[in-house]
Amino acid sequence: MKKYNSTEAPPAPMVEVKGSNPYLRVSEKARAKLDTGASMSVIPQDWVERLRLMPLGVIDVSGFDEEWREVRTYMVDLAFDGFRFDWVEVIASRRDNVLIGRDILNHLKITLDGKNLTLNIEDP
Amino acid sequence: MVKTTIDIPDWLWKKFSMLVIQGKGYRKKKAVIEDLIKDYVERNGTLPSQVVDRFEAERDAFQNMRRELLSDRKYRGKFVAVLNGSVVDFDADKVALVKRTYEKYGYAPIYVDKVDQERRRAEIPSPELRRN
Repeated sequence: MKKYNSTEAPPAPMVEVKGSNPYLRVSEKARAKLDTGASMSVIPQDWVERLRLMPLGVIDVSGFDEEWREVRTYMVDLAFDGFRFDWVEVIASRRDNVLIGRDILNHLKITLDGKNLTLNIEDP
Repeated sequence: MVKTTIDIPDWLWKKFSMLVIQGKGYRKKKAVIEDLIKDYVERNGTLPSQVVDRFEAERDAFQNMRRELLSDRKYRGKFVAVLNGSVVDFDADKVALVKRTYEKYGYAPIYVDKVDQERRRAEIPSPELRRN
């Protein structure tokens, strides 16, 4: 069991994530929010430069206001909590943390106990 | 801080002003413009310009070939990798295609897309509050 991150208001289920360039093997670490609302995972924009990522494609993305915009996609390896997901197609956004979306969450069994502010991640 | 002046048509400024008031009434036009510039710089400025130019050229090549690819059963519904203006490989498995292409041609700006009528879409709806 892990505790929710209490520096978020309200507290949020977060993990430490390591993102790597799958080809060059450079890596960065950041906190990541588990976000079941996101259909794909999102990395901080500055990781694109730090990890020397190559753009791979484009995708139309809508935010909470349902405004669509076109963004570039990148491939990264993401690892957290003993789990590793290689060659994940992500988008980048102006943010400090990573969003782990359903593209990854749907491979795991995640229990969110909001009452006790704990989470558990398994791959049964 | 830098101050700058630009000339834009009256109608455009009026329309922009209306949209800001209607859509983001609580924000000032200056803040919206600043956000647009930041967004543009961060989306385009974190990649070297030669990478962006090559990537966009490969993407243009894909767009130009799209109809032709769609009419070819070999490619339809599959992912293609475009490099130097041509399709260099294709596969139903995107990751396998990307790995193979980087392995063969190096870590270069290739454009990979599905040969499909529909554009790819994703939803990232989580709003976040910025607290100062």
